[in-house]
Amino acid sequence: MNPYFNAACLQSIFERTLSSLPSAALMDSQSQPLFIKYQNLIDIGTYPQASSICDQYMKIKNGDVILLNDPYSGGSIMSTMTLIMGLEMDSTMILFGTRVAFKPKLAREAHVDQEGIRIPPTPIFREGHWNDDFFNIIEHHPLKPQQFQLNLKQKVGEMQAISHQLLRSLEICGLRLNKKLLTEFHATCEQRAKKYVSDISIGEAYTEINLEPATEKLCLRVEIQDSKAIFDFTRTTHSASLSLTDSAVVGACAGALYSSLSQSVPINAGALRAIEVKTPKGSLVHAKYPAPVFLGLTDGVSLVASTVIDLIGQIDPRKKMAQSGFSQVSVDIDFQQGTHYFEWLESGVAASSERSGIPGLDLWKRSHLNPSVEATEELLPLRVLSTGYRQKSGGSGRNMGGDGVTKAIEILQPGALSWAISPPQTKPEGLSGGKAASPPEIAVVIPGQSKQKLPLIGKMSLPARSQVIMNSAGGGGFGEKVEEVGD
Amino acid sequence: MGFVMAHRVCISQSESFLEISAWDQNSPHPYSQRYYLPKISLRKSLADFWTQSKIEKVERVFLNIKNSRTILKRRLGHSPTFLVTEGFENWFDMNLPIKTRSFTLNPSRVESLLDSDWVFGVKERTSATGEVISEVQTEELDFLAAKLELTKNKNICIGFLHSSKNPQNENRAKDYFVAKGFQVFTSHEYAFCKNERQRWLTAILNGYLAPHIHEQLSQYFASELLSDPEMEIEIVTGEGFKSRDQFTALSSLVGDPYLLQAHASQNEVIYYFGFDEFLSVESSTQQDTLSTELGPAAISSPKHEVLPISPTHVLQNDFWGLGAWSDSAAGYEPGPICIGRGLQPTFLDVLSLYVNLEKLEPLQSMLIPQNKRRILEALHSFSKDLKQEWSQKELIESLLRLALTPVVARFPGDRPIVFAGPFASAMKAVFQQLFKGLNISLDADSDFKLTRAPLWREKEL
Repeated sequence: MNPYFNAACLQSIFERTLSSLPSAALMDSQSQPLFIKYQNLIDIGTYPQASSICDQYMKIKNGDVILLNDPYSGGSIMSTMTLIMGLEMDSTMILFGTRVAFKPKLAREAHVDQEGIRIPPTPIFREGHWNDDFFNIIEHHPLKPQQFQLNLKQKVGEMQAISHQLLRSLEICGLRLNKKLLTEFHATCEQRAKKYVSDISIGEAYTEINLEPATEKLCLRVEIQDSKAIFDFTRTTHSASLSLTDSAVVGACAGALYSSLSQSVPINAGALRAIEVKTPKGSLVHAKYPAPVFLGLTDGVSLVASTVIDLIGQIDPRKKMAQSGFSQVSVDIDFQQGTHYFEWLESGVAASSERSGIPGLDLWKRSHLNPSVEATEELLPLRVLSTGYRQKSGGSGRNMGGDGVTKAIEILQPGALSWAISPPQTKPEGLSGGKAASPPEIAVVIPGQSKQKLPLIGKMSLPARSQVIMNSAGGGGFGEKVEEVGD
Repeated sequence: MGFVMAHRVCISQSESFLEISAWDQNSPHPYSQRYYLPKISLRKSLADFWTQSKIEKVERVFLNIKNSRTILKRRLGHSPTFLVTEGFENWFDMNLPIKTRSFTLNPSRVESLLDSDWVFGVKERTSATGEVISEVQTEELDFLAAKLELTKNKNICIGFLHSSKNPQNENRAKDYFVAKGFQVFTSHEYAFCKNERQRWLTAILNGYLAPHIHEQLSQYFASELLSDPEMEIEIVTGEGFKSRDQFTALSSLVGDPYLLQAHASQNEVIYYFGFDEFLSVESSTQQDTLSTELGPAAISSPKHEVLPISPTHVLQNDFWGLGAWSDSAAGYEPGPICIGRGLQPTFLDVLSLYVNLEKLEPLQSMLIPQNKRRILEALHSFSKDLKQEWSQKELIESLLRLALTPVVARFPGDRPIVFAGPFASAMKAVFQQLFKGLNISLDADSDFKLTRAPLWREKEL
């Protein structure tokens, strides 16, 4: 059978059988990804690392499920649990990963262990039995996510059902996932991915981005060779506030590169072979335990991906686009009865030579549903006063940048507010004469006081009836605006 | 004077096809016919059917108007005015799903059903406990009414926050506008929805589709053939047959699954292969929400799925260099090459090269045998950059397998599979030829399964 045809069929089966999961991945026994359904940039690089570490230390057998959330073991942010299941097919072990997201909490700590309960790879289902000891320990932990055990057990049940369907589909289609087919699949994917990468002009570009304080820098050189892209972060410094795991950086580079192509490329081992990422150990793009990683994994990855897009645009002018808002606006409010509110507004997408920007849409997320206003108000002592696009926050130009988002809430009980606008808090720049967009900002109105704009990060107590107003950045405009001339 | 036998008639109309069956209580064999609407008008089709089936009197008509999907997909409906809690004017659009699954520098949300110029914030508020914090003011409604009366748009949707807890404000606004002659769709009618997004979407979909559906129905009601005042005319919905003033426009989207459930055994999964779309229906399971491209809407129907392939899905360039099937059906405007319509190869074109479709009504009079060469040339052009020699058989089988792999990937392992619809027999042959270990049975009344369903329901009763 034709290798292209086999590869297309396999991809189709993976897409269809895993379609009910928002985020999922299948890896071969060498932890080479066959399929990644990503929700964000982190998923791309971390699933293979998670499965590799689980398999190395846990020796996963058919049906076993390993849980982890440790960012240094291939996890995402710590409120998101990663599950890796062993799946034996035609004497080949396939590792099936998915994620269960619990409500995140804004963390600006000095140590990763202060960001939440860090769970290294731990078997939760082995040889047909649940690891009740583990669930009991978590159940008694003060920071345990709500309905932890129930949600995880439901997800494992879903994984089991999907596994059966996957096996059956492969059998009906006459595809045996043996070594020969997998080798052929990876090679075909690599060949096709490289063909599309080679559509980008050959060249290189370099940038340095000053963070806060200015001694902290993100340095990146992108080099496009014939059918290969190199991302070299040499000279990037350590950062006290923004740290990413190296696997998350791989995801950011791959996600950004493939987003710039005209053809949608499935990101798997073949596609990852078309890139090379160099990250100096201990720097902010290759953090070492115990560096905190929450902000890096939420905001830092967007910064890396946006920087990659800027540099690809310098190498190949056809890919040029202004800057999208990558400084995230995150707000967390703890209420007295133990509930908490978390908000993370999407920014505007920048304009390019071909089109205007898009309002309130994060380029690097694939789940764009905002939390329901009614559900938020039912669960928490607050009222949403308004939410919508932040008018005129996109940069002007021949093509206008997309507007950011604005949201105002009033709290009905006293609460402890923490907030963060990730560095660098600059205006998303316009391009080719287009204007910059409005930067992100957060303000509070305490009863009896005037509106108060808040600094980049901080914490404060708010009395009842205080208002919090959040504005995310717009996207930069593209091209000089041509003034209309009257007759 | 002789005894006149009263008939029952079921009519199913899609964008391009009209299928009709008629039967009387004494005859076990219904008469059925299918018409291709671009060639023969609705009026002439009905007249021809009445003549051919020798209908003198009709006592009951079941109307399955199913082209709402096309109206929705091509945004051919009427954007309603949307009144929403002030401060949340963008909220509906902000929650529309994103089109592309993979990362792209050109992302976009699905196109809204609303015109932003006709979305108005209303100063009103109800709390999460259902307490009305701020009542709707008549002065504000007077101002809005003055604006709306300048337009021909008579459809208003109302989406106020927490109206499911207390519909007082929505009802007050509704009463006001109904009194002024507007048709109003309030979101609290779908109070069982999970949240405001689903409630608002359901109200907006009904408002968007209603003018189109009513226009369609008026064509039938204007027909002399259906003008007998004693004739009972019912609309097929996901929950059964409803009278004209009982059904909602959105419910007409799911008439097919309701009809296909008829005469099905408890455990069966029915795969219907029609001219417009292919769908699967689980015979004994209901669903409360319908997955639309705009998100889930609240409408009850038998559990079903529109399959990712249909006769008019077209072949496009793809990552693998083989050609991939489009995400949605392109319809019959222009349509498949094999019937002399379009230039892009469709699934029906590939199917026509693999199985004999010449006995299929009304395709037998439409197929152009000379076009086979054009189809093959078009197919070969998709895989030319792979620089591989494909035999004709290999190419056709590969494209059919690519089209049907997503379908078999969801085939139930533990439930009987029954194929029905005009393409059922052809598709059974294709599946059994290309895939392994499938146990598929063919519905006994396959070809006109949809419009003969009410007959089976009556027999069961």
